[in-house]
Amino acid sequence: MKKFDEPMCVDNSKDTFCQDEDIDIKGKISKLVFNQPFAVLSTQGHGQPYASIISFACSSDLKNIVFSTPFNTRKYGLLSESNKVALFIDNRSSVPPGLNNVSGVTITGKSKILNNSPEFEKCVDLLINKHPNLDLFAKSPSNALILVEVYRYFLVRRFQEVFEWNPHQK
Amino acid sequence: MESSSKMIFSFENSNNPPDLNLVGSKTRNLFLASNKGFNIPRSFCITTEAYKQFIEHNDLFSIIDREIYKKPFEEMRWEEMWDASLRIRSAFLRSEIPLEIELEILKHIKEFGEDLKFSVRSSSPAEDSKKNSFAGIHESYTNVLGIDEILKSIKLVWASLWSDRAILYREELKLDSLKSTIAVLIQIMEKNPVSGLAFSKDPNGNENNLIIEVVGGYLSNLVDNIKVGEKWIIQRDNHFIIQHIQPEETKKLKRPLLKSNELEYIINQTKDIEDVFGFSADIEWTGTGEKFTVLQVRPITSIIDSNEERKWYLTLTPNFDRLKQLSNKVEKYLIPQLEIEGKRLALEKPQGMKKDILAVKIKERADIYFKWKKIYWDEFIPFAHGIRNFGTYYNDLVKPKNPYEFMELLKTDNLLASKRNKELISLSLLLKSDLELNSKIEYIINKKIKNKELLNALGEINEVEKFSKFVNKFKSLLNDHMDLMYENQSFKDHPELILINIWELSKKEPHIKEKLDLETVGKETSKNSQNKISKNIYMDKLYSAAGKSRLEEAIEVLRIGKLSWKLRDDDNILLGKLENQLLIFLNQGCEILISENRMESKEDLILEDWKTIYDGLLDNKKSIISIKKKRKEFNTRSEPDFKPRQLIGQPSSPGIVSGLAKIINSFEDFYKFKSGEILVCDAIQPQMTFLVSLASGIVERRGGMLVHSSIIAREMGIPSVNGISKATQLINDGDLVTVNGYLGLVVIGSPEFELERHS
Repeated sequence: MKKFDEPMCVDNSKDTFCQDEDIDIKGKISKLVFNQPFAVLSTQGHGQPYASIISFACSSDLKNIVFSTPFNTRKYGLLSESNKVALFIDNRSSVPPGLNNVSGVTITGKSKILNNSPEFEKCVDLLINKHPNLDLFAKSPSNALILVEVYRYFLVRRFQEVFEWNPHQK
Repeated sequence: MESSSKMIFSFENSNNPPDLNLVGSKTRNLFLASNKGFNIPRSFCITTEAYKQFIEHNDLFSIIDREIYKKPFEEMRWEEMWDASLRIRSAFLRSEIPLEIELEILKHIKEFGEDLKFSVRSSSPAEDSKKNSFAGIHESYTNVLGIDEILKSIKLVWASLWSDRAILYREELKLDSLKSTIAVLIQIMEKNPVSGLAFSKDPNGNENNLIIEVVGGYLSNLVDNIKVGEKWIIQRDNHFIIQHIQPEETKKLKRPLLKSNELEYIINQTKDIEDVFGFSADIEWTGTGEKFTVLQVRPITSIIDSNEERKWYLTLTPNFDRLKQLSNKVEKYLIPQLEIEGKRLALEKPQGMKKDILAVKIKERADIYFKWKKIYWDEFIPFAHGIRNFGTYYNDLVKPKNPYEFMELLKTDNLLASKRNKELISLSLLLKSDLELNSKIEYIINKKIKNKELLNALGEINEVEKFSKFVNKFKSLLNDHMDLMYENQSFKDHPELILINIWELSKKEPHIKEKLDLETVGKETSKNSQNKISKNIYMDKLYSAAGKSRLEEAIEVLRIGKLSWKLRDDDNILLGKLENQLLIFLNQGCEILISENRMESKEDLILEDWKTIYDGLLDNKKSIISIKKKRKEFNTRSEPDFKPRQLIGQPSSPGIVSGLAKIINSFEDFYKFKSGEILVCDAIQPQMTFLVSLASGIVERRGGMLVHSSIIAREMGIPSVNGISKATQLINDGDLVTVNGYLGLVVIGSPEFELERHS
């Protein structure tokens, strides 16, 4: 007998929950952070919030994000004052029109300057690999290489659906 | 704005065949027929470009996107698809046709004759190809009179591109809905003594035959099943009449609808059209001889529908005449019969019956139950379409902002489930008002007394006169409302569950709506009158939109809608009684077989096993009985590596509430459900809606505005969100959940944002 009240294709008897592509949240986040070139960086300081667009790269374990900025920029000044940051990345420009096609991810974390750190070379290479045109920019002595240690990801999709994912969770 | 010539295709001003993507195949084929010298009615086409402009002008794509693409297609249920389509249709109806297009349409209508009747037909580029037939998928309207009705019909044809059946059909054919578009063909309705269909090859039989179907008057008489037509099956090569099928009403005329020369002419025209188009043709026509006019030509496609479920679904939209017939049958015959049958079966008890008698009784009950189960699928479920039919009717006439406004007119306090829930609340109030009774019941519950022992314990309480009202009411509730089963468990065998439910209810502060309902028992309160007044507002809206000419029709559509609404839930409960009565006897049979060491356990028993138990009871050799192990659902659950914070579903009952989640997956979970918790469930069945009285909110995976939980939640004023994919897997027991029944959102966790704490 056909079940009038049942969905068309979902088979509840199978435990395919975690293999379900639709809720592969880590996969969706990876797609955004690896495919999108730009992010909006939110900073705070002097009693006010601030936002700027950055070119970024993300480590393969999704735990770190790197970007470069000249020392004399407002965002660098603010990062020196408070290292608590948020980033926002979305796919608006690369999907067909429609609210349900758009997804975005808010990333929270803390920043640190890598210029005198042994991690500098590895991280600058990560950034340049993704953005070869930033070679001179990122290696310029006038620039700071910033690493954001990611605390949590908040994936937003289909207008209002929100999932939280922690890259440090085992 | 594009030039108006791109918006309208005029047959009379064009020499070259129009672009298929601009006018659709119906229009293009008609133009080709006209070009080859066949008569066609005066026609013009509103192109797909005009449809595009209409969508952009009213920003309708954002509504389509919101409704159709809000979750993966494979997780959308039929009913959710209908809900989505209703909202889109409502938005289309309320939208404006861009002025430039409207003026062009008016110009053509005036030129043809404003006082004429028109047909307004879909003409989609995707339909009627040699591969795919969209016959009956998109809407067409005939006998449309007056400019307002024509404009409304155009919008409805456009909206039909997003009807549930069109979306499902495109999905089946793997066509991209986002690229789909539609044109509208407007034709003068030519009045001739006869009209009909012609198939140059029999679509369902011998390819050497040709079929002609004829009806008196307009073709719509045949297509809309208003009249039964005459049918000729003709041998193609020599035009020999193999069969002439004449319905009773035309037999009385003593002569066929077509004379032999008229028939011969239509046969020749049909074959000519086939030659011209180069495919086996399905032709709609009107008039004979020189007046023979082609209304439509399309290729014959034999629709081999492999998806049984979809095929069945498409039968669930009976037309209004069929609904009327069903309403009489269901209301006056089937439901009373079903009720009587349930009561009759409940009178017999299986205890103490001899094995052979018990076996016969099991067979009798199985026959009755499965007979009614078939009636349920064949008659009751198609009758549920009455609600949808009323919804569409109301929205077409009233054009309300809220496409679900019509539900206000369907609400009733007479649902069996509402009556049961009121009884539960009334019992809980008795407990609340008497501390002594309260402590006695608490003692029974804490002692975990079950089944017959519980009834005995209540019998002792009953000896105290002031408690007898509670005990008698409780027993009546069990008999009248709880003669049901869930997962192989009869509620009658678990009176303790119902007592716990009442006990929990007594701890709950009545919801505002419940308070009002209880106040209104037996008296006319101001709130009661207020409800009536608000109902009257919608009634007035409906009747004034219908006007005098359609008043009678509106009253009838509403009557059927209300009946359909009530029976949508009641029929399940009444069928549940038969189900339970079969289960009670089967359980007794199993117990006998277990006591004879012929059966291990009845844990996996389902009603479909009745024959095994029946045979076992009659088997003198006393062989071992085994029933198949059934797979338990929900027995495994993987832990996700993420936390859901906010999920989207359907706002199925308005209101907002926060509470602790309780996942209900099994009969055992019913015992654990506490007052004020949020009921989280895969699918709330009618048998378990008694739990809803305890819930402060509902979250369900199964979606739809007309599913049982939506109906009950709306009736009881409890916020509810359904259509949440994987609800029982994403939400955990004890999670703080906020159910937003206004927006269809479920928020998991505290509303306060947890501040980031870096290690």
